[in-house]
Amino acid sequence: MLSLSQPHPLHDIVASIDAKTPLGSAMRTAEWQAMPAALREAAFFSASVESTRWLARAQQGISEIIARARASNEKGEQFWKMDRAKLMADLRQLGQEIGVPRPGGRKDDKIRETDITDPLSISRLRLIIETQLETAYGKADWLTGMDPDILEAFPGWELVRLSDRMVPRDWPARWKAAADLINWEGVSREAFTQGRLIALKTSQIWKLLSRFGNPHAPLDFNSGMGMDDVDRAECEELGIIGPDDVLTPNVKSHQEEIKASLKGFEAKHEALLRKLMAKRPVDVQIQPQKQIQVKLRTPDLVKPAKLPPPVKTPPLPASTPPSLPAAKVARVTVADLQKAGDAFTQEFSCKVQFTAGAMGRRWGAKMSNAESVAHLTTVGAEWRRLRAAFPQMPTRPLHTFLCIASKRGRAHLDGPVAHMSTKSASTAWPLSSHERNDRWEKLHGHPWGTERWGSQVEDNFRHEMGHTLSTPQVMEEFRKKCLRPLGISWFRQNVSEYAHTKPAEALAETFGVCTRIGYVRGTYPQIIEDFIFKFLLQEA
Amino acid sequence: MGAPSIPPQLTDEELKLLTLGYAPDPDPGIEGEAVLLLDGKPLKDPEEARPDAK
Repeated sequence: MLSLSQPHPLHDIVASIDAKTPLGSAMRTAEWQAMPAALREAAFFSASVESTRWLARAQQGISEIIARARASNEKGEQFWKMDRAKLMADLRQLGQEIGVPRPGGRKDDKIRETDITDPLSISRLRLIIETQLETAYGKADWLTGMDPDILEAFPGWELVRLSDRMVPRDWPARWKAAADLINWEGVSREAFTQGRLIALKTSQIWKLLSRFGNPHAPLDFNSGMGMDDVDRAECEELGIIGPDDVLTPNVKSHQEEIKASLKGFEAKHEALLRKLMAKRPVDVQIQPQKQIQVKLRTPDLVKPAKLPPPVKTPPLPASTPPSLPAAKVARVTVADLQKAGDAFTQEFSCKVQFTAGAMGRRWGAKMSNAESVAHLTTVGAEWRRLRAAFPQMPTRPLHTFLCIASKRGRAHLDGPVAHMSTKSASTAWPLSSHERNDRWEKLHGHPWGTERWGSQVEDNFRHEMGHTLSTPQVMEEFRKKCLRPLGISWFRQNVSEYAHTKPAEALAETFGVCTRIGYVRGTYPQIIEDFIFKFLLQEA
Repeated sequence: MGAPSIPPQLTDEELKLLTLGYAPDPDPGIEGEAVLLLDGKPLKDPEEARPDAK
């Protein structure tokens, strides 16, 4: 029976992250995948990152985000100790201090923000943090789904797209290849013919699909895919479970498989691992069927003189998913741009313009085709997330989205033909600007603005959406229900310095915070939450 | 419009005195904007002072 008094699986996940050993290695992703699952489970690692100190910091930050750890400032006010943007900034700063090696042994200090192989680029830091968080939340969902009562009521999962990608992987092809390997056991052929990817939660297909060999999400880096529960009636209709069948949770068997993965890990593998760690200050003790111990001998090394020589990837174990060709990044043509704009229009019921046109340059500058498509993807994903989180929010708040690079974002307040533009990847502040904000915030004890490094485009979009929703009636209600009772200084102290400059900014900044991922209900007073969630976003 | 950026090269002492205020636009019908104040006096942010960045 499901016991609601039992600790949530996330608590166990935090404990398991804390228990991992940060393991620096020059191994690339494919080489890590060839290592036994037990080693990957026991170690906190990132491909080609050798600094154990840097990895330990990443591990601690991830654990703090998941545990929603709090800290206090000098005035005794509590705030979240860690968030994604702060962790990204911390890791970059530490990486620069200790000299995390750059891709290909590059000597210059320039960070290529879109270079996924550069451990200090925004793309890579974001990928590391997102993947670790998705893994933790995915494992918690899986453990929850394996509760016998939940498994009975919702025995299946459907693989669905949660957010769009410019170059999506071919998941139906991966699905078919994996299903063929296990003779479609627990996998619905009927659903597949209808274009849906449905299987029992206990099916081996999830592990086969996963790049990481896990039976839960995420299935690959930055895939945008996730799993939706499928109820018993639908699974029975699809013929993957009988009316009297009882599924056995596969948590135990997964743990046993992890232990068993060490059986074949004998001397030659151990020697390989030692070779890879040759320049690293660690002792590796591997005892089959027992816990792996990786002991740090000395403080972290600074810039090893030479990377370990490249090694040949060992043969992949049987449970590794079939190798599929990597997707090619295509050139973005005018037709692609038009297609992306049309899709945005269709989904969000607003026009899309790729130039400021009659609005004037103050609304922003034209971007390249590739930048424009990427910007629509980023803004679209955030808007989609808002709609999923607040299904009753106004469906057509905007007349035209200007897909251009705005310096600070702009939106009509109650414009008869409401337009909006936002910051883009090219106008988002550099790290140095955010560092100045951090210094200011430490001195004053409250935020300067609500936009954070690494999510500034999304944060700016939510801020502008707050403006777009601010009709005169909404502003009047905000003045009456929130501003007058709390006073503008409350917004300065609790939302941001910028929020106190005028009522419309107080509303937009508060809207941006309340709708941010990770906002915990109860953080702001009831009158604020009632206004944002019930009045503005029309929650029941 | 989101918060303006903090100009570079301010000392900690200046950052302590840096706040934001509000300046209405002299043209009727145009929204005012936040302005940077150093010890209560307007501080011109070079980036914000560009003609195309109002």
